[in-house]
Formats: sequence, structure tokens, C-alpha cells
Amino acid sequence: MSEVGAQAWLLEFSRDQVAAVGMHELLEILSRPKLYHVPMASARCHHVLVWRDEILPVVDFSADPTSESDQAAPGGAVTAIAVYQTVPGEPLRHGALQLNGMPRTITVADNMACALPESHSSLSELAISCFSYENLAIPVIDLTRVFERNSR
Amino acid sequence: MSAASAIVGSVVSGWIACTFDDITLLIPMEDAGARVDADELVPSAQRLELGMLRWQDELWPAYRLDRELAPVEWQTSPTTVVLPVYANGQARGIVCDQIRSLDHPVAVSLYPIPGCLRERPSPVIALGLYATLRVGLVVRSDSLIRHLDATLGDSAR
Repeated sequence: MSEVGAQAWLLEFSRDQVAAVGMHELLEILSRPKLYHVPMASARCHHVLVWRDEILPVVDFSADPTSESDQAAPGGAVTAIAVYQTVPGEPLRHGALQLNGMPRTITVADNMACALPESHSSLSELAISCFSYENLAIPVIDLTRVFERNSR
Repeated sequence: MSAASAIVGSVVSGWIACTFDDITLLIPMEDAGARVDADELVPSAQRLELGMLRWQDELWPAYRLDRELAPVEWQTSPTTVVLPVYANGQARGIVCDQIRSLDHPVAVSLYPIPGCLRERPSPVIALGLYATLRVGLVVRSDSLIRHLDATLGDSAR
């Protein structure tokens, strides 16, 4: 984030779960793509979709992580295709995020930085920083952590 | 050894796509036998066994699985088809809605399972793209049989 501000995407997973990623980290929005169930996975991530000949995991932060049920379909209104890189120089990887609505762009400046509140429990372990926006503490999430490590 | 063979750990000459409850298992042809119709099964008194299939002079149970790959009670119908899977001298039957042969090793493109989908130990070893961008779950018969036995507990054969 520079002094004059940087553009970011604001992502609403549910009414009380909002996070941000960098402008370059979202590629495309899909409306209700075909999802495929993967057994013995977590409540938050048990679907994949096909995008440009790739199989991508679909992460839904609005899902109850304590639920054992696989019946609950992802509640997202739209699906965002995200891009990330595990190590500089390695090929780009992709994943999908279920969102409650269309992501929107915001401008984030250094003076908006704030501490991560306890209430962001499900997103806090994925956050690399946090900023204050419209009286909310918005975690900036690390997509490598979102897609590459086990989720509960 | 092809990329597919490297992932599944042995030579793969083709695949069987076995579909039930809107999921598809992709099983190497080497692990499976020819489909069996429900009326060919020997009746079983066990609650979760839909019948027994005959293989190498022994009878082996056939199960219908749910979307979490756990055996469930199921009412067979005239259209019920069973896929026999074999490993280490054992057999099991998987009750399917549809069985399809993909007669070439590259009919399925294999992808590793992303980290966020690896929650628990699972017989699924990879994800597969087949038949115009459909997604299936790649399993070997030995790990599937072990999974069924573990799910059913010590009372399973």
C-alpha cells in the first residue's frame, strides 16, 4: 500500500465475513458454474469447478466449518476466479471463491492499516494485514494460505 | 511410464467411469471387472450389502455408496448395475447408476488434489478431467476396499 493508496478488491463472503485481495488477484467472475463434489473434504472446501481446462478448488467461507454435512450447497451468488503464486518464479495457480455478491474495488492507503480484531476468527489465520474501511476491520487474505493448506 | 501411470502407481490401459449420486469414480481398468446386473447378485442378509457377487469361487459384497463414499441402504432396481473392483485377492461390488469405459490411458487428464481439499485420509488420489470437461475422482481398488472396510468396521469381511 502506498501513501496515495492502492486499488484492492473487497470480497463479501457473507454479511459478516468480508476480506480484501489485491487488484491483480482476481481474474474473472462466474455466475453459478457447474460444481463437482469432492468427498471427505472440509465444509469450507468440498467442491471443484472446471475453468480453462483446469480443475480449481472452490472455497466457501460462508459454510459452517463445524458442519459434517455435505448437503449444503455453496451459498455464493457469484464465483470469483483468483490467481496466486506459491513462490516467486513458479507458475501461477488458480482457485475459486464463493462470494455473496459482486466484488467491488476500493482504494486502500497506509493510514487505513489497523490491528486484526479477534472477531475475524475464520479469516484471521489467512490474513497478512488488515485495514479499516467503513467502520469495519477488513483482513487482507493470503490466497496461497486459502488454497494450498488444509482448511477446517 | 505415462504421467497417469506415475500418479496411480502402475500401468493404466484405460479407465472405468462409475457414476452414482452425481459423483464419478475413475478407476483404472486393471482394477475393475465387467459390469454385473443386479439380478446376478446372490442375496445377502446384511443390511448394507445389496447382494454378493461371485469372484474366484468366493462371494463378495456389493455396496451402494453415498457422496462421502460410505455404504448406504439402497433398493436395487432392474437398471441397477454393479462394478466389481479387485485388489490383493479380494473383490467388492460398487452399485452405480452408470458405468462407462474410457478405452485409452489419456482419456483422463489427472490433476493433484489441492491442499484445501485434503481434510481427511481419503481413497481419492487425484482428480480427473474426462469426456468434455467432466470431473471425476481417481481411486485405486486397493485403497477403496480398505476405505470400505474401515468405514464398515471390523464386521466387514
